[in-house]
Formats: sequence, C-alpha cells, structure tokens
Amino acid sequence: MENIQGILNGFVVLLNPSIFIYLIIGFFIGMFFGAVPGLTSCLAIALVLPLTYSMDIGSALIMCMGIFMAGIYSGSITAITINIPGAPSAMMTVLEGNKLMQNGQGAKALGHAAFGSMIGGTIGSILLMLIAPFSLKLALLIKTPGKFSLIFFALVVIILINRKSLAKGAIATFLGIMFATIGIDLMKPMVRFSFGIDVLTQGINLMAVIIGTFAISEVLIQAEKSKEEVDIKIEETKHKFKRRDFIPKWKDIKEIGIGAYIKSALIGFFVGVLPGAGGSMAAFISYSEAIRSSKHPERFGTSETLEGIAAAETANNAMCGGALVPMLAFGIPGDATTAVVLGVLIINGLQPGPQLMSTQFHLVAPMFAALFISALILLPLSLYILGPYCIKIVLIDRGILYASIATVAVVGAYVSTFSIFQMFMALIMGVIAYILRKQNFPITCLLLGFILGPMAEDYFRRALSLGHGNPLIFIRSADSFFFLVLTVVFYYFLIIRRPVK
Amino acid sequence: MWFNFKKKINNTMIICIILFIWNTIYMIEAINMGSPIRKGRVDVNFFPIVISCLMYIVTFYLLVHSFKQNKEIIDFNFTKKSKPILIIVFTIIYILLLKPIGYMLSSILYSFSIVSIFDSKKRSLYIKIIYSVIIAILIFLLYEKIFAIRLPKLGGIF
Repeated sequence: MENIQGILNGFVVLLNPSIFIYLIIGFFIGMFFGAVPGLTSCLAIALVLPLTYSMDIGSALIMCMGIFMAGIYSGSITAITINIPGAPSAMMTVLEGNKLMQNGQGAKALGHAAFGSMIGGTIGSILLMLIAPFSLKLALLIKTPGKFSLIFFALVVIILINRKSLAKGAIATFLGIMFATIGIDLMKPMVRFSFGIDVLTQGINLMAVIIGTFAISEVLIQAEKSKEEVDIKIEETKHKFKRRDFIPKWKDIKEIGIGAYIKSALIGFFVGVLPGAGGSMAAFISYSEAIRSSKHPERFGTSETLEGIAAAETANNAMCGGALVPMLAFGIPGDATTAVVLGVLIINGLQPGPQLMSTQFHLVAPMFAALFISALILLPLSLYILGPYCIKIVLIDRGILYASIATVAVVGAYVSTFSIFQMFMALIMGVIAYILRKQNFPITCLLLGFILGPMAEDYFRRALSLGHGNPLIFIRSADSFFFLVLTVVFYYFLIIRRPVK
Repeated sequence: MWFNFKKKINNTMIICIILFIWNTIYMIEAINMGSPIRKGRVDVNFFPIVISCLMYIVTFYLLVHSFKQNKEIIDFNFTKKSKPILIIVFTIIYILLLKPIGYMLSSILYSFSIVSIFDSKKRSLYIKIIYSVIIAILIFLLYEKIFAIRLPKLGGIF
C-alpha cells in the first residue's frame, strides 16, 4: 500500500509543468540521438551528465528516463526508412522494416514499430513498478558475502553475454576494474597505483570514463568513416508520409496477436534484468522466439509480415523497465544506458541499492512514472506529430553534429570536475575505448567493470574480514552460495548449452 | 621466410602485447605495496593481484587464439587514421587552452577544427567559421545561462 502511494506520488510529481518539461526535453533528445545512426541514448545521457550537477536530481533522472525510452524506440525510424538502425537495439527491425518501406508500406511499419514500443515500454514500466518493491525486500536480505557473490555473478554474466568473444569481454571488464583501483583506497587511507605520478592519487573520475568511452570514442570512430560509408541518399529521405497511415489497423494487430505482444514484452523485461544484456539482445531473442512460434516463419525477412517488427520493438522497449530493476535494487546496471544513469546517481552523491529505494523513494517513483508516460503517451504522440518529418533528422550536417558532441564532451568533462587532469583522463579513456572498439572489445564491459569493481572489492574484503580471512564464508553464507550456484547455472546455459544460434 | 611480420602479427595481438605490458607494470606496483595478506587479513593489493593474474590468463589465451586464427592483417595504412589522430591532437590543444584563453575563443577554434575534419562537402571558410561560432555560443548559453555553470573566460568577459 505504501509503495502504491509512493508510485502515485511519482505521477503527481510529473503533473508539475516545470518538471514535466524535463521529460519532454529528455524524450526529444533521446529521439534525436536514437534516430541518428551512430548516436545512442547512452551517449545522450553521457553528454547531459555534467548538466545534472546544477539540476535537481529528480528532474535529471526524469530527463534520463525520457532519453532512455525515446532513444531505444527511435532507432527503428532509420532502420525502417533508410535501412540503417539508428540504435543497436533496432538491428532486427531492419529485416522487415525496410522491405515494407520499399514496398510502399513505410508508414505502416513505423506505426507498428511505435505501437510495439508503446506496448513493450508500458508493460515494462508496469512490471518495474510491481517488481521493484519486491526486489528491494530481496536486496535487504542479502548480506555482505552475498553482495560480493551477486556482483561476481553480474560481472560473469556481463562477460558471458558478450558471446562474440568471451576473452575480449573479460579483458575489457578487468581493465575497467584496474582503472577503478587507481587512487585512494576505499577502506584504508592509502594511495594505490599512482605509478609515481602525483595527480593519479585523485584517481580516474567516473565522469571522465563515461565521457571518454561513449562520447570521445564515438567522435573518433565517426571521423574514420569515409564519405561513402556515411552518405545518405537525399532521395531516400524525401518520402512523404501521411499521419493517418501511422495508426496501426486492428486487423494487423489481431494477426500479430495480443499474446505475442505480451510474450515479447516479458522476454524484453527479463532480458533487461540480466546485467549487460541490453536492448539488442532483447530484440534478438524476442525475434527468434517470434519465428519459432509463428504460423508462417517463412514470411520473416520479407514485407509480408509485421510479426518481426512487433516482436523486436516490443521487447527492446520493455527492456528499459527490466534494466532498471538490478540498477535500483542492487546497484548493478542492466545495460550501458542504465550504467550511465547509475553514474548520474553516483556523481550526485546517491548510492543505488536497497537504501536508495527505501529512503529516497520520492526520487525513484517519478522515474517509474516518467518511463510509463514516455512509453504510453509521448511515444505514439511524437510519431503522430513529428513522424512525417523525423526522417529528415539523418540529414543533419556531420561536421556540426560531431563538433557539437566533441565540444560538449570536453566542456562537460571540465564542468563536472573543474580539473584539467580529469579532462585529459576523459581523452585518454576515449582513445583507449576507440582502440578497443576497433578490435570489437565491448566497452560496456569496461564501464561496468569500472563501476562494479570497487563495490566487488569492498564487499570481498569486508566479507573476508567477517570470516576472519576464511574464503569459505562465501560458501557457508546461504545467499552467497545461491549466487555462486546461479553463476554456474548461467555458465552452463549460456556457454555449454549455447541455446541461441 | 618463417616469420613474416605483416602476415603473422594482427591488431588483436598488438593489443594483447600492450595489455601484457600494462598488466606487468600494474602487477609490479601491486607487489611493491607489500604482502597481500597481513595478520590474516587481505590488504589493499590482494584484490588487484587477483585481477592482474586473471588478466594474464585471459590475455595469454587471446594472444594464442588470435595467433592461431590470424585472419585479420594489421592495417599499416595510416591515412584512414589521420582524422582521429588530428582530433586527438586538437582535443589536447583545446584542453590546454581552455583555461588560459577562455571558453569562447578556444571553443570556436576547436569547433572549427572538428567541423573542418568532418567536412566532406568542401564548404567555404566563412560557413565553417559561422558554424563554429554558433556551436560555441549555443553551448555557452546552455551551460552559462540555462544551467548557470560558470565556464572559464578570457579577462572575465569571454
């Protein structure tokens, strides 16, 4: 009852126009970053991160939720219209979306993508509101050894989910953990890994890591692309849509099936709960399941079905709610975007976890409401109002775009730390991330390692102190044992059995 | 020839070698801190040593794996890399100039350099300068006027 009241209060907060405007601003920022190929909602939040210092933290989080939901959805716009996914989570939408576009049914595809995103985002938000209070109770039961094992589980899953190369995922994670150890030790007032360089005693700021890995590395990657690689034919963007064509027909929705939407939303939500999984995996698994359970699997990949778009878009937006569960309850981000949202909390002096949920629920509840409103109202409304023009977003001049991003990134590193050293660290992190990305090392693992590493070390040392140095404490403690077994189970299902082909 | 450098060494292997060197420096620093276990308790360097050991194992595995695969040939063509290198150089200059010459002038110069690097349409100098000034002013307004965050200024004005 108390939780329901708290969540309702979250909706009441959004009724304040001066706060609601942040949701709308965030939504349009997310829509822009999601729609432009190469830019992501994660980068958008990384760039607005320095601004949150001077904002009310509640408004900042609401804005982040708008960016998150819109960024995941709007990747489908360019995926359908010009065959380039605006965000990685829209990679499955390309398969049928662009075929429909070529067949003169682009508006229909965009409408169904928005409808699926709306259903997925709404169900994901509702599930978040229902599950978050229970996950809080669960989180409160976990003791120090269990907390270490939970983070260990999260780090292992983050590595395992990177199926392309486990070794590269592991290296990126370890590198993140190593970078996090530079500076003053958390438990003992002692400088570590300064390598004789005085300025390194202050350590590497989280802000510098986020800006470097997501913003600066992206500018470097984009600079390398040739004109031919990025040239978008102006003719492709000249297509005119009629607003009424965006509205999905009931006949099509019935053909896809209400059950299919719910199933995709559930897949998306629970994939989101897994650390490191993200929207692209949610879309991929949901799409695979849609093929498996479809009466006409042969129609997938052609313009004859909308099932694929519905499955992928419903799942990737439902992931938004799921990814927030481990972040809020345990302080473990579900994907790269929630890792950056976690950064928003940390740099504003808030520690995610059970305490945040129980003592600062007035900050968390508006986030849930913002996610819900973004999905249910802003998402279809934005397509209806801006749909005919949003395809033009991709025509923005790359010089202006990346000069703005680079300047905001560097100035952002300055205003968040007021330190020239941290600005250089942001640049160094950007160069490292650029080199790693070129060789397909997942930089999300680096960021998650950087965030989770200190927490893992802290709980590890505390647990060993409690156990008088005996590592068996991790097995004797029931909650810790549970997470260690869960790690083995995940290893078995993700690596040994390899279910998804 | 038994060892053809271009054919045998690939990018992943070079990264593994760099990581190996970094890890060794890290491990030496950790070991120099003293015993990882003192009075039956783990010390500040215990966890880093564990991570460093794991890093050695995974880096070695990836090195061997990439040596066996040997599919990707190292790219010795640096013309493609010239733009990222230029951006890095301009960013270093921007960071160094931000405080001494203030936000506005340094940002106009930086934006101009990035606009020029990304310019594929060979725009005129004036257009690029106008773009750069607009970018710098908009970001200034965003930080200073909307969010009231003070940026460094030359002589307290720009």
